[in-house]
Amino acid sequence: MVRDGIQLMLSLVGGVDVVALAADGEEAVAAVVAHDPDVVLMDLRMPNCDGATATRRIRAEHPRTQVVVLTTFADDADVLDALRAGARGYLTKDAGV
Amino acid sequence: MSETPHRAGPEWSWALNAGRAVTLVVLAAATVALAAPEHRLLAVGALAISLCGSAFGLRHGPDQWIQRLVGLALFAAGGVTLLAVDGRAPGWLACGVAIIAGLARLPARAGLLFAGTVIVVTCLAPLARDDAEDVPMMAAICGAALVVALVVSGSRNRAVTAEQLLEAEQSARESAAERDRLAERQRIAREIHDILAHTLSAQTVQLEGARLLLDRGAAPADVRERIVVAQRMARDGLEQTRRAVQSLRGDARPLVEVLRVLAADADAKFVESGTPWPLAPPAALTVERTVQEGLTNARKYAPGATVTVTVTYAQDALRVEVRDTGSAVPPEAPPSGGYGLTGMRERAALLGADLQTGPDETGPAGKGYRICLTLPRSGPSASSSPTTSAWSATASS
Repeated sequence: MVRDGIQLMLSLVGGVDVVALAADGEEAVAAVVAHDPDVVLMDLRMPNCDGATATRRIRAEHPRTQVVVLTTFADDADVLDALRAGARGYLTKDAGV
Repeated sequence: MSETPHRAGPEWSWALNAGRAVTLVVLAAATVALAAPEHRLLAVGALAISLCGSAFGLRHGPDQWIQRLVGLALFAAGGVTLLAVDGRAPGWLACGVAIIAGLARLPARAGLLFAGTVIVVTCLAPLARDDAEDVPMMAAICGAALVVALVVSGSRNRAVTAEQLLEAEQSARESAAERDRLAERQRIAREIHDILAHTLSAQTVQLEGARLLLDRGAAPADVRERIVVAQRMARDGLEQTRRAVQSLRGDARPLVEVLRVLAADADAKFVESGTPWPLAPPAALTVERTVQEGLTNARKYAPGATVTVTVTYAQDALRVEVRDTGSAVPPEAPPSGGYGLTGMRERAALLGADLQTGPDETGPAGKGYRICLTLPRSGPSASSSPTTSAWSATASS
């Protein structure tokens, strides 16, 4: 539901093409390999492979692709993990466009 | 704690004080009665010093051992004076009590030093009146006092050990209770985060989308769809909150009971096996919604079919299956692809669960439909929140 909403918002902003959607970290890494995007918007808590792990893998294997973390709360300890893993920055989910 | 033998509580303090008073009165009477008439005045004076010392020492607690030492020294000095002056007066009694009290009530090193000094002085005191024959007797009395002191200190040590054991046990109980309280608080915090934070942030995103659509003059139907989704998430969050509160209060209905009622209401068979384990409210709600959706699908697409709900609590997973035997006439539209199944699949993915849907070839007529949800007991997502949104979007500009 969040993902669909974000996709809609990005499509309405203009200048941004959403090239892929992923349900977990594994899918996100696979989507980066397939589409070579400029930016990945990454959730933190996901089944199978969490956001920090996926961020580390994407930054190591595809340094060209930047990762921005999306989180519910800015003071979430996991945000720091993701930033250490190479995320460029973070946005909270209540941020408006 | 205060009932241990060496630390009398308020209910025993009057008895202790009465005992001390009786001892002192007996000591005073014996001194006056036994002392030679020419020593009687001196004996009373020495006794008075002993009494004052004793009273002074008793007024101070274990932390003020110097005051205790002074009091005991005065007490012993009175006794030694009596011994040095009069062989018949019971000065030895005061000396003996001072030795016992010194070893029992003073810190170990000070007590030993004090007792040693009193022993030496007591043994030598008869020499002051040229009565060397009394020295062995005094040594015997001091020896007896030492034996009593040893017995008293032994029982005291046992009492202290018992008290320490009790204290350690109490403190272990308290820290276990504190740990339980912390774990419970963390569980509540996690549930609030899982339910409220997820549903509220998802609604925010949907409503933000609706606002953007309105701003750009999108078709009302598109805007409406976003609002309906947001509304559904709000209801869902409310329902999950209600269940979480029920679960925290401890009055949530067991999942198996909920599913049995759902099956009975839909005239479906209900089969259960295994020993149920507790599920977090979002997981329980997902299982319930899956069964509800499965039963609705069966009624819609396979009217008149026999429907069976099977709940299996296996060692490592909970498996819930809704299976129908298929309708006499083929349904107009296949049940897959509808919003209900999509929503169920998304819910299952969030929990790290697996949802299988499709025609049931194994059924008796081979034309039924089967929905099977397998929820691992401790899957890869067990440590993370089960209802946080699982998504990531890749974009290129």
